[in-house]
This record gives sequence, C-alpha cells and structure tokens, in this order.
Amino acid sequence: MQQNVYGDNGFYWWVGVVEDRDDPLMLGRCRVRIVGYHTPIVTELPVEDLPWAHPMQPITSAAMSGVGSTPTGPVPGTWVIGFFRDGSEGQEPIIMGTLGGAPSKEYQEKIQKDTKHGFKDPNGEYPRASYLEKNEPDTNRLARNENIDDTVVQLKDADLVSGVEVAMGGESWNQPETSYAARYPYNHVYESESGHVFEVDDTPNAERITMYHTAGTYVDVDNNGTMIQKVVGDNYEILLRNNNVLIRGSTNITVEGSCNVYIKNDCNFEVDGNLKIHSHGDLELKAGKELKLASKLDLVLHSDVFTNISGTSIITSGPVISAPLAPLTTIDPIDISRVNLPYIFGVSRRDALTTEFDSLSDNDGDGATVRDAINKAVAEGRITEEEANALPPDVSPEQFDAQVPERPVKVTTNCGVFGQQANYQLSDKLSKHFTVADLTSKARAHPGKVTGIMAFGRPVDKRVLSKQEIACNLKALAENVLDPIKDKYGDMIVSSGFRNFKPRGGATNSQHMVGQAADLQFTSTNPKDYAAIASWIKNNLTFDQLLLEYEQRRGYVAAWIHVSFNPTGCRKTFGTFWNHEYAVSNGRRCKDIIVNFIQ
Amino acid sequence: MAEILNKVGEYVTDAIILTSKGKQLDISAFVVQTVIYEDIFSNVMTGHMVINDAADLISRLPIIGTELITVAFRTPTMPVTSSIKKDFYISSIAERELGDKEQNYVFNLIAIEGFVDSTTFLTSRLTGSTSDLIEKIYNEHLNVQKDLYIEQHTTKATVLPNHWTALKTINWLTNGGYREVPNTLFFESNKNFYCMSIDALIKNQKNNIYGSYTLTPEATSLSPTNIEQYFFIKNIAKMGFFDVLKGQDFGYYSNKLITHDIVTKQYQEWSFDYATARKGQTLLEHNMLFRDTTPNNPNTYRRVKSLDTKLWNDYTDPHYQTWAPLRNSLLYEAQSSRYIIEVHGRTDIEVGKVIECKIPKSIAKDDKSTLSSVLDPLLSGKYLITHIRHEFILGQHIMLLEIMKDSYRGSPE
Repeated sequence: MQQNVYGDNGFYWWVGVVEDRDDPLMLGRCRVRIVGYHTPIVTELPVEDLPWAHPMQPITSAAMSGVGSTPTGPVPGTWVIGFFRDGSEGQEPIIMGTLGGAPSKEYQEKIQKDTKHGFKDPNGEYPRASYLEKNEPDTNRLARNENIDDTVVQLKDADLVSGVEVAMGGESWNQPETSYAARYPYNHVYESESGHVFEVDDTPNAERITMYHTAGTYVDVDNNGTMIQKVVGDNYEILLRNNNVLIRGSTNITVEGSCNVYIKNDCNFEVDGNLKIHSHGDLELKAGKELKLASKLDLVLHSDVFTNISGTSIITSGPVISAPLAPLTTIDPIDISRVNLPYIFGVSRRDALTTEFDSLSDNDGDGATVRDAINKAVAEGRITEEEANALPPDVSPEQFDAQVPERPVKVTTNCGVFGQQANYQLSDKLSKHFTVADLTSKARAHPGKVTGIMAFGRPVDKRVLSKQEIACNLKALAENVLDPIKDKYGDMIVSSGFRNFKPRGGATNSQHMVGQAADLQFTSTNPKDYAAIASWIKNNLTFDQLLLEYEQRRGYVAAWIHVSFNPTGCRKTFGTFWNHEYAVSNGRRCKDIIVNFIQ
Repeated sequence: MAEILNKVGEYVTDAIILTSKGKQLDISAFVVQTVIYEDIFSNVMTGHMVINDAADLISRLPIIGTELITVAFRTPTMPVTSSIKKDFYISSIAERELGDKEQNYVFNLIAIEGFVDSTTFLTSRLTGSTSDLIEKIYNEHLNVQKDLYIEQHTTKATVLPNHWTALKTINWLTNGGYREVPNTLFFESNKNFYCMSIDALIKNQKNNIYGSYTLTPEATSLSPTNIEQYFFIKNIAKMGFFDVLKGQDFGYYSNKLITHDIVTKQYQEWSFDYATARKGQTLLEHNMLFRDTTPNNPNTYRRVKSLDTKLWNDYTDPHYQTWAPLRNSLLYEAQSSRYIIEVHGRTDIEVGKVIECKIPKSIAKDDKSTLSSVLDPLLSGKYLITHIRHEFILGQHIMLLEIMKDSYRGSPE
C-alpha cells in the first residue's frame, strides 16, 4: 500500500510579508509575498495575484462557528512565517506566525520610495514612522519601558483628576499617578492599531493589569490591588439580576451633575451611625402613602421661617395638634404653625407616679380605701353583703381581686334609627358635641386598610362588627362619656377614636377597634393636670375602662386619657399606664413597675 | 544526381555544425557516434556525441560548454522535411580521454529549448484555459522554431509559478490542468512539439498507423536494399510482462483520492476503479490488459490532495476527483506495459506514432504455418512509440523503439 498524504513530499516552510489583509471571506487570510517563491517586482506579480494565505490558529481557539479568538492581527508589512500545505507545489500557503524585528529606517525609506518593490506595506503605514524614527524594535514600548512619553502612560498621567470635593466638607482626594514601572521582559502587552492597550505586567513588585481604550477610558490595577477606573465618556451599567456590594472602608461619591435614583420596589437604608442629609437647596420628602418619621430620642423639626405640616388632619399619638376638620367634600391644608404646644412638656416620671388619681388612698379627697371598694362592689351588685362580710377586715388588694368579680354595670342605650342607616357621612351627628368625623380620624388616616368612607364592617380582631354596630358603639361612647367631659372641659379633643388597625403599643383587642374607646387630650391643660380630669371622670361618669396614660418620649412625656364605654355593660375599671403598661390598677400599685420607675 | 539508398539503415549527414562565439565549424569529420533521444515522457530531446579530436578543437575553439551544435540527419531518398534536424546545446563534456595525438570525449547534448528553459523563470500568476496558457508560455518563453501541436481544451486553471521554469509550468498545467483528457503529455519529437493526450495520438492514427513491424527470421534473407527490412524487428529486448503487485502499489487497478478543502472544510473520499473507467477511453486494441476480476482495493493507493477553492478570488475548482485517479492509472499503464525493439533507422519516424507489431508465438512451426496463424495474440497488435533512441554510427542509423500497449488485440481468455 502506498500513501501520499500531507507532509509526504516534505515540509516546505517560508517567510514572507503581508501585503493585503482585506480577506473577502473574512477568514483572517492575508496575501503574502513569499521570499524566494514570489518575485519582489509588483508589476510582474501584483498584490492581487498573490494567493490568500490561511492563518493557522492557536490550540486555544476553536476556529469554528465564532468560537475562539479571531485570526486577525497582521497588518500590511507584517513579516510572517508559514508553510505550504501542498508541499513542493507551493500554491497553498499557511501562516504559522509573525516575526518581529528592528526595522532599519534607511532601508524602509528606500523601499517605500521604490514603487515597483514588494515585500512591504503597500500603503506605507507600517512600520510606523514613530518607531522608525528612533530605530526602535517592533516590541511595544510599554514592554520595553522605552520612550514611555509616547505611550498611554503619559496620556494617563497628563490628565489626572485632583482636588475632588467630598460631601459634608470632607477631605478632598486626588487620582493617583499610574503605577507603571515595567521591566523587560515581564510586561506582556497587546496594543491594537488604533491604540487600545491591554497589559499584564509581571514585573516583580510592580505587577499590574491595565485595559486602556484609545478614547482615554481605562482600568488600572496596581501591585497593591488598587484599581483605577476612569471613564471619559458616558457610563452605563445594566444589571439584570441581584447586586451585592461590600465596602469595608469608606466611600466618597462626588456627583458634579444631577443624581437621580429611581427604585421601583422597596428601599431600605440602614445606618449604624449618624445619617446626615444636607441639601443646600430644598429637601423634599414625599410619600405616596404613609410617611413615618420615628426617633428613639428627640424628633426635631426646625425651620428658620415656618414649619408647615399640611393634611386633612394632623394626629400624634400624644397630644393632638389639629386644626378643625376640613369639610367633607374639600380637604384644605391646615396651618398649625401657631398652635401652642406647652402640654407636651413638663411631666416627669415622678409627676406620673404622684398623680395616682386612681389610688385607693384618699389622694383625690374622696377617702376611698379597700373597704370602700368592697362597699362599692356591693352597691354595684358585684358581691352580696354576705360575701363582703366574709372578707377579712385587712383584706389585701390581691384578695379583693381574687374574690370580688368584676361585674359590669348594665347600661342601656338606644341607638334608634341611627343604627339602621345604610351608610354614614362624616358630618353625621353622634352626640351633642361630636360627629362621625371626630371619632374616625385615625381610621381615615389609614385608607389603605379599609374600604369605603368608613372602616365599618371590617373584620377586627376576629370579631366582625357591622358598620351599624360600630356606629352605635361610637354614639353610645359620645353620649355617655364624651359629651359630659366636653361639657366639663371645653378644651377636650379626641385624638383617637375608632381605629381599623393596631398602633405600636396598642392592644390587640383594643376597644378602639370596635368603636367603644377614645383617647382624649386637652389643648389648654397641662398634662400634669390630666390626673384631676381622670379623677373627675372616674367619680362622675359611667365607663367601661378609664386609663390615665403616660408615654416617655425623647425630651418629654406625652399624656392622654383613654376612656371606653360598652353599651352592653361597663366594668368601670381604671388605672394609670406608663409606656403602655399598668403602673397602677384599680387603686393598687403594681410595685414591680414602680420599682422600675424609681430605678 | 539522384539520391539512392544503398542499404537499409543508411543515413545522410546534412550537417553537424558547431557554433561558438558566432563562428561556425563543421565538425562532422570528428564525430564518431551521435545518439539522439526522443520520448513522450520528456519535454525536450537530448543526446550525446562521441568525438575523436586530433585537431585539439576543444582547446582551440575553445569548447567550454553552451556551444551550439546543429545536427541534420536524413534517410537517403527522403525529403528534407523528414530529416532529424535539431539545435542542441553542449551541456557538458564527459569521458574525455587524452591521447598523444588525439583525444576522445563526449558531448552531452540538450535541446536548445531545454537549455533556454533552464534559465527562464515565470513569476506572474497565470489564469485561463490550460491550452491557451501552454501555448502562450511556449511562444513567449521557449523561443523555439518548431511547431506546437496542441489539443485545445476548455479546462481553466490558475497557477502562480514560484520561479518555475517554463517547462515546469507547462508540465504543471499539463499534469493538473487537462482534466478533460487525463493522459495529456507535453513532449518533443524530432519533428515537432506536442501537447497531446495519448488518447488523441491513438485516435488520430486509428486508420493511419506508421507501419507494421514483424519479428521473423526471414528478415536476414532479404536484400540489404529491400526497404521491407525497415519493418522487420531485428531484436526485441528481454521484457517483463506484467507486475500485479506493483500495479496494486501504484493504484493502477483502483485507488482512492482524498480531498480536503481548507475553506469549506469538506473532507471527501473518491474511490476509483480503473476497470470501469477504462471502458470509456480510446484504446489501441479492444481487450484490457488485466481481468476486471483482478482483486483490488482503493486503499492500496491513497492520495490526499489539499484543496483551497478560494485560493484566489477568481479561482475555479479543478475537480481533481474527475481526472486525477484516472490519470494515475493511465500513465502507470503507459509506462509499465512497454517493450523495446531494435529496427533499422528512418528519419521520418517520431515518437507518438502508432505501429503494429506482429510477433509469433514461441512454438514450433511447420510448413503449413503462416504468420497470421502463429501470431501471439497478446504480444501482437498495435503499439504506441513512447521513446526512440536514434544512433548514427559508421553510416548506420539504428533505432531502439520503446513501445507501449494499453490493450490486447486478442482475447486473453
């Protein structure tokens, strides 16, 4: 058997010069004038008559369907080495690689003038005049660290950014100079024709990686791992999935133009230290729904001119700052900048502990003792006289609680036709002094949590009351409790009536949520004097629960009176709350809590 | 006075002129022997001349190479157009023997075209019809006076001769370009240049063969002036007959061409069976030289041909598979089924001529035997002259004819 396969007739290798690279098939083929095979005389063998030499590609390139690296690289004038695939026939050249050198300026000038001579770049562009001028070798200057002033190093250092201002008057910063300190042969450089540069520099103690775009945008990583990214054009970063950024040091961001951040979902911003937002112009915080500002210490709103808070009503969980309610059909901004707010100051813990309006001692002058409570329970029918007599003479409050049931006082209310309305308007009268609007402001402040003009009919704490039932509860509360208080204390306002939600610190089974409770504040009364009002209510009105409430806030103590009325029966319990917990209950001090107060 | 033929094989020396530095010298008196070779497998004629020099020509002229020698030999009574006339260059001097009063040496001769060719190089790309390109090269680079007989073909080829000589380029075109008739050859006879296929040579002489040669003892009994003697085979060289193993090795019976196009990335195998392809070719006789049942396997000869169908923008696919395997078998056959016969020389003969040979069987014959009845059916028949060695010595023109056959006249079975 005979075989005549590739290589059987010898390996014919050659050296030549690329004279054309505009391969119509875009395969990276070049027309190469080959030394010894092809005449240098271009009139005899024009460039277009040279065969297309196929480029051999590295094993790291698949050379298939776009996979791998493109086989483009040689420029006209590049010396290449290769072989003939068809052996001695010498018709089918393959390019294996390129050959660098140190071109002679004199020789290059001579052959460039000779228009009939081949073995050169027909366009006269290569070798570059700048390299020939100094008789430089073909190896890139960045690799040799020679004539660096004619490289991108100079371009980078000539345009350093300095004195960049930092927010809040912090110390400005400067762009570092390039850390280029390459030594031959450690710097591996790729430079394209237009001047894009990639460097992988292994120079000991000066290791770098650089990517430079001819427009001036670049990324430098120096031997310390410091990275400089400079973009001279616009920058677009598009991330289609999650982004996680960890910065262990500090960050300075200086935006000399405008800055727009649009977050289409939630945005959480947590700062362990202080957060300062300084706007030298206006600062606008706008919420499509609720805007919450919370602080564990002071919440200070300060304006050198006015503080404008606008809305249909302004409600706090302490004393209410409110302007008259807007008409039902129009809601106007209410200017409360001139509202006097003295009541939110001046109550200390001691004040709270010494009010004790609900003490069974005779602080409020009525001389009540435990025995008085027993007698009262008999009078209210909660225990019989026999049962009262069976109690020991020195009965303790705990024994009293254990043996005397809380028997609600039966009360009646006639809701009448009011309880049969299909719908309710804010202007609907509940009582002599109050309308639906007065007792439903909190519910209306949370429109997203209810449907319809009122919160009525919404399931509340597993109990579903109809809007008519809630309306009746509100009416009973207003007629039996609120009207008498308003008659007595004209500065009384309802800061929270019916609620369709459980506020922070609120009870899950709050009577607010069924329209049976209201929080009261008094716009012209010092909170120190709330205890006296509470005592008056306790002694003069029928109620289900009466609480004198204090809450420690940053810099002051807020106070209000919680009172409820249950049309089906009132327990008439009472006490003092400190931060939403009992301090005193039905005349009996809760010692643990008091101890905590003292501490 | 009218020319007469005194003896078969006689020749007339019309000229043996040596030209050196513009001076011409008739050196026929110094020539002892002249041998001229012509071959269909050789582009040009060659030869040698034995000189007995008692005048110290070699030093006086001097003869130091590249001198021109014009020879003209003619069979008496034949017209000048039947002469063997040729300009040769002395390519070398060999076997020089120095005597006291004379010396002997040999001029090795090469046709002037061959010599010119050795210093003529082509560097420009050629593209076009192969026959047009060959004719162009022949006319522009070989500087010859002889006519070229060329078969016209439409096959197009593109080649960049990398400083190839004219004849190398012509051979490339002949070898790779003529796919229409794969056994095309470019050769010189003593009369003309030819770029012809063996097929065409045979076809052109189908009814007009040069002569019929007979191997018979009767030849010795004829008069020396009897021109029939020209067509008696004086001698036949010891011959080989066939070599099946060699044929297998060279892919004569079948072979496989593997093509790989570097651009289209096409790998293709083309199996070839000569017995099948042979049936469409022009043959000297009718019966193939081998049984079509001869065991064969295309893998006995595998040849890879690299392809680059986009080598030039105007490149045309040479379709190697359509002719390269057939050419391989045809040329193997033409070079392997050859015999050598010795005959009296005539100057009107040339390579490429078809002759008939009548060769009797090597068996006992009786009085009733006639030539036709005892002819060997395998050896007798038509042959093509592929090579002629003309020897002019001591008034005798002796020819050794290499003749090839591509088929048997009689059925071998």
